[in-house]
Amino acid sequence: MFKAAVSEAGADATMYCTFRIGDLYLGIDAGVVQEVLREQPITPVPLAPPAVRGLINLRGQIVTAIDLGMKLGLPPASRRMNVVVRTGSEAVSLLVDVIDDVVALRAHEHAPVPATVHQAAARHLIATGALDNELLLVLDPVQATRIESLAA
Amino acid sequence: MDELVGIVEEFLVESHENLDRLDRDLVQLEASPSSRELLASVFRTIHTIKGTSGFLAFGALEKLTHVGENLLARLRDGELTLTPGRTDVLLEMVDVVRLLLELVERSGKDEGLDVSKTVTRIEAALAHDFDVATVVHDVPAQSAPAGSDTVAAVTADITTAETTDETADETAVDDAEDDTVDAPVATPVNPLTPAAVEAAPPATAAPPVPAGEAESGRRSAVDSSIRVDVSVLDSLMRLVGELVLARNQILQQAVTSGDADAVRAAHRLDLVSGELQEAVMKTRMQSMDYLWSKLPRVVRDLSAQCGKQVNLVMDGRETELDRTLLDAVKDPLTHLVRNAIDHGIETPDVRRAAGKPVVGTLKLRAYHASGQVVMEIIDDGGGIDTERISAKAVERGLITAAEATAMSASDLIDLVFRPGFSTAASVTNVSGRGVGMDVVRTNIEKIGGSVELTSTFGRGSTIRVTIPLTLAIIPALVVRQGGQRYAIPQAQLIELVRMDADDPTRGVEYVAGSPVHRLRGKLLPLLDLSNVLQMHGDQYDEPAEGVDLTDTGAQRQRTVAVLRADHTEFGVVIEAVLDTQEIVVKPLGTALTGIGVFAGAAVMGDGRVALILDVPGLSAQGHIATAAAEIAGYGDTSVTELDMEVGDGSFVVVKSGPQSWCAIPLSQVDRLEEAKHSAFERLGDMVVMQYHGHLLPIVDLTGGAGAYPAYDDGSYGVPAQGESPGAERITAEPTAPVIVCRTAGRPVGLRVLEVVDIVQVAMSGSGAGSRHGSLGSIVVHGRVTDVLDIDHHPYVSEEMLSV
Repeated sequence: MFKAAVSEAGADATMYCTFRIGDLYLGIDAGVVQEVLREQPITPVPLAPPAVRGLINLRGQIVTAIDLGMKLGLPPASRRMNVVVRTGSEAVSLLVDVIDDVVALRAHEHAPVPATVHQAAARHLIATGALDNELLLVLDPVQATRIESLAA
Repeated sequence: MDELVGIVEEFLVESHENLDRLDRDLVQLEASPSSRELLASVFRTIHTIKGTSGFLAFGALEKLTHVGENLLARLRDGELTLTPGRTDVLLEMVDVVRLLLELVERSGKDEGLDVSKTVTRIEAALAHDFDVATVVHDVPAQSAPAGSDTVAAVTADITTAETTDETADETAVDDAEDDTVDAPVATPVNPLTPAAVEAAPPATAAPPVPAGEAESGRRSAVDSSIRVDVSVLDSLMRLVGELVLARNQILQQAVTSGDADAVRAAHRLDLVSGELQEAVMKTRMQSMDYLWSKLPRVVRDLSAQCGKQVNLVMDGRETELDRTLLDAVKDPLTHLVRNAIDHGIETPDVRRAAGKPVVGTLKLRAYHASGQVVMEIIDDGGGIDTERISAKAVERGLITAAEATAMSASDLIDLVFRPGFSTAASVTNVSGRGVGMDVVRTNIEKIGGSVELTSTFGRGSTIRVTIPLTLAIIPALVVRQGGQRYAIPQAQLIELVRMDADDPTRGVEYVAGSPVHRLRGKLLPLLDLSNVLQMHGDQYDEPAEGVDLTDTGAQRQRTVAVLRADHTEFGVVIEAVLDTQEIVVKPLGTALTGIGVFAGAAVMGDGRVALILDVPGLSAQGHIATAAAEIAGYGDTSVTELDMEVGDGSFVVVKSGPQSWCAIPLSQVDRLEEAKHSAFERLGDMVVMQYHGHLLPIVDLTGGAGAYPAYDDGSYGVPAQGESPGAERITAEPTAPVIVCRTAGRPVGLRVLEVVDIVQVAMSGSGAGSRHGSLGSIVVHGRVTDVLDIDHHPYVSEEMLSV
């Protein structure tokens, strides 16, 4: 489905899979998104870092589900939608509130992350993109899927 | 001899593959004749074949590849360039090598095919102007004695078939150096040689056996095996794992749906996927030889280094094991072998003084036993001096002097597995740093295996390593805790103990602040799973919706799972036991591997994920080692000894008849099983039961009370109470306890009415005990109970055990 959008947008455009967590409008490079899933049964993992919500069964493959909102410094909430991101050999599911469209941003439409963005969130962002009436925060796939502190 | 056949077969498969590559490489070479890389690759291939054929005494093959190697070496070093003529010669060599290999495959020998012509042509190709003049310089050494009749020498089968490698070398060198001198001599031969070259391949190719015969004969070694990338097998294994999961789900659904057709189809699926799983598992199997083939060299080097003489004996090298496991066992095995030579086997002087053969024997044995692979490393060396061990352990502060005197020999021997223990007087570069045996044990236990060490001082030691057949699919106990399911690998599970339902705190005592459970008179350190997993949040109070956590037993009972890690037993208090199941182990994401108490995760029948508990990790998290050490001073005996001394005075007390009890020494008991009545089958005048793929002869201790009335369907069973024989069978099939014992090394099942208790008392050898089949008697709960002598029981016969 992404291919059609690419041809429309032109060669210098990057496709972003976008979603929302609270008031934030976020996007991640569609190239690393393996799939988007509805709510999945989650098995909690005791002793895991708080942002790890648990494990889901993705067609027999065990995938760690991470509450992206908590990573961005938002209070925990029951985020249900799964954005399965594959970086390297491992897949991680980012839990978000609402799945949005796939949007194309041309190179010149990208802007640096403003200094005013909250520190916890800024760490995960690589760019912003001004859309018609909204600001898209572009996530760094590696940062977004990383779990820093392991259980002591 | 069989081994040699195996080597030859391997050699054939390998060589044929190599030759195929050689063909491609040579053709490619023609396009880029200066490619050193390609030439080096070709050279290596031929070199390998030459080496192996020399080793296997295939003279003709060796001779041919030797000259080929010469030519290739010069091409590689840039002394000669590859011309189409030389390529032809090389290709011809490849063809002849192929023919020779076929010959070897058919007859086991490489005789009967004359390679001398090809050899000659290759030698000729060594000349610098070979292609320029399109001349085959006939070797002067041959042409000279034969006078001027070189033509005859080429076309007739040259008598130089016996030319040794040296002369071939020399002539080749001569040839190259004396080009100018030879030229005139060679010229007259000119017109004939090209023809000879062309005519040669068919001539040499004439196989001594008609081709058709080979075709119709046995499937050749080359055709019957292919090489597969391990990653392909891994993904195949993964897929089968998925299939097993899907099967579990379908089975579950089919049974609940009640649709007979669906159930039948599901069962077929069950069968097929089971077989498929087995077959795929088989593809991952590799023989022990994969590990052992490197050992002769290790042993040779080490024994020379230590100034010892060691004869290595290997038995069971064909025993197969999952490749992943083989890799995991590799380092521990090397370590154990090094240990056996460095510490075990004595120097020749010492051996002579002790009246032993000067050459020590190190024996490796491997065999399958009850679904596991057992590997034994046996040396006839000095054995373990328990006194030295205990002195050392006390010196190192591992145990106190008082503990040392109280410990049995096997406990003392077991000390070598403690971290930081080494008795080597000096640290050599072979061993003695004290980081050996504990690492060996840890590594073996990591893959679900176990290590045992037995030793007789002065006579030698035996190390027995038990390894599961495969890692990917393991039997596990599924338990419930905090509304979630967890799987415990059965390899590390020893037993389950039910705690009192009314008062869950009963049975838990505190010793030095650590909770313990008194199990058969011994203190077992306890962990509460909910504490270890810090399950205090709200999310753990209620079962996750949709998870079926109903267990068969009473809800309020708590269970202690007795587990073993690092040779220490401990109990984990869990909410409930749900099921036993074969699970497919999946790795956890990198973010979660650091937690330490989970070995992985598994997808359960309902599609949800369950975490697999890592038993050594739990032990570490719960500081079991510390707790065990603290407890060790209390109670009757130390906790770590639990499994060692069981048997001396421990008995399983069973009800054999409505009024009669009898006892079985626990040391002879393998397992307590509950068998469905339909599991008992008749075989001749015996009753047997299928048990782990074998027939288990059943001895009925119940006498008349436990008769096996035949049901209409031909199965046998004891009717439930109040039910008359022949009455309609109740839906939940009744079960009967079976005590699986071992006598004369063979298992036998004792069918009893009920298991009453497991007690530890002293046995008196008098009174009723004098009867045949009785060891003596004990007093249990105030009644005199016979102790069965299974080895001499009148019901246990030789024929029975040979089932």
